[in-house]
Amino acid sequence: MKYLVMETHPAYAVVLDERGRFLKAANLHYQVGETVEDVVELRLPPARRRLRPAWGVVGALAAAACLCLGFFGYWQPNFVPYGTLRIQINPDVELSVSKTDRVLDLRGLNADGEALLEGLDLKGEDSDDAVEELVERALEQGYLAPGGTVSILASSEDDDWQIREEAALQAQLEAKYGDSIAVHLGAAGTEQAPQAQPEPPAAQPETPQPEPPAASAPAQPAQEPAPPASSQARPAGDPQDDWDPTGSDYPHDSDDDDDDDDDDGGDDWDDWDEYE
Amino acid sequence: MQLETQQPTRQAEHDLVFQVRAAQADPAAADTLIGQYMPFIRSETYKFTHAPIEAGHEDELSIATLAFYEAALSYQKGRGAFLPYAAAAIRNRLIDHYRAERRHGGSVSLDAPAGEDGRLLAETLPDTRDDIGAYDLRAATRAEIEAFGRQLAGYGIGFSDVADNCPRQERTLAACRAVLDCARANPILLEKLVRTGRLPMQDLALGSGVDKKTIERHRKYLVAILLAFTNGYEIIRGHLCQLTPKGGKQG
Repeated sequence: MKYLVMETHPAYAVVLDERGRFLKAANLHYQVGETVEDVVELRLPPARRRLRPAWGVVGALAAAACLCLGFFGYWQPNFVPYGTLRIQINPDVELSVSKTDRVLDLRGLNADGEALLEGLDLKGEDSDDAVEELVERALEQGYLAPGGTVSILASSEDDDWQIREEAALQAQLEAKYGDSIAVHLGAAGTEQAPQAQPEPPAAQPETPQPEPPAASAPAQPAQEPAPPASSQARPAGDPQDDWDPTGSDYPHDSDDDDDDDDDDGGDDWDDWDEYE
Repeated sequence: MQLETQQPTRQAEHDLVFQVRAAQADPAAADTLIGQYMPFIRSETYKFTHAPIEAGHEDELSIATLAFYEAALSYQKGRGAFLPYAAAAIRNRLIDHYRAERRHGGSVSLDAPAGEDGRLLAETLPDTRDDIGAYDLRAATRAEIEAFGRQLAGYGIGFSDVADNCPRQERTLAACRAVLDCARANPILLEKLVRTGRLPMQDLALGSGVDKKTIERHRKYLVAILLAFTNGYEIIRGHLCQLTPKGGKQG
């Protein structure tokens, strides 16, 4: 390639190549009008592309971000079932509930349940309101008589939610109807088995049992006066609880606990209070 | 004491940044800047060659000057002081230059002694060049280029502007060539350019099928290359042999 020198500067020469390109090249003592063969071309700084964001990409990213936000911030908590609430009076009703306690779907699991749901549109309601509404309706339609039992079973992958939801509903119904109806947690019908089911929470502390005595052992002397107080407090707290101070009927009230600290048993009571 | 010496240095550095910024926009300012900093460039070159420039290192000085100019063009404020940046640019460019030169390492210099009689290799070769003819040609070329430059100046365009405006991508270059071919096929457009002093952009875009935006972006370059194909400028046109559709190789 031959280059025609068009103009010279101290730092560079403007040369014209045979393809019609004007280039800046090192001025190796060129003179205007000279034809040269090898030039050292100017290397341009890389183009600064600050002010040209790719709007398409930016737009796509923004749209994706909006979608993500909408999905995780709105759709998922509001429209994706998070757990189910099963209300059993005699009518057996199951509610799918989203994370924000929004009722997504109601199903009657038996004929009475379907009858109870008939003409009732609770979708989108708050689950607390829905349950209350259902119970009220059951009372109206005679499924539930004063003194009857309402079983509530929450199930979800989130154990916390399950426990929270059941406790909240129980508290709510008890607050509203007081003693006129009994609220029972867990599935109805299988009375005995579920009874054992909720109990494990009380039994659960059993596994870490070896630790608490160890922790409280050094504090024993200070707690010597405590046992009477706690023994008085306990029966007041839950009178119908079948707590047995002798600790014999529970498999976890094992003897080794008593063996550890064979004092007056005040230590055990303290532990118990903690588990309450 | 230190404060007194530091203050002017910082002021000078500040001024230099402004000068560099002016040089980025204006070729004349760049020439001034380079004239001022020639001693710096020489010293940086000397650090590399370890020999006086005059002892056969003029090319290195030219390369270093170009590197300084490149550094001035690419310098960004806030990325450190200019002079160390320029020094690094010069050093890198000279290293590149040496590596490129080393590829010719196997060839023999024409200035090497050819035999025992003390003649140089160049002197043993038959002299086929027509020195006088070449000189005449160069004088004619120079006259033509000067005339071309004057006409370009009438459009407010200098050669440096044209070089800066020259398409760098092969595709853009092809587009510009399409515009040129269109103009050459319709000499009226060339006449219009000379008469009105403006690029007949609409007609060219229609005739060549090149996007108007592309034409606008390379307006200066297109004006120059179209002017070269108006009247006169035989030598320049002869040089652009690869641009002629017939005969010249396309590449």
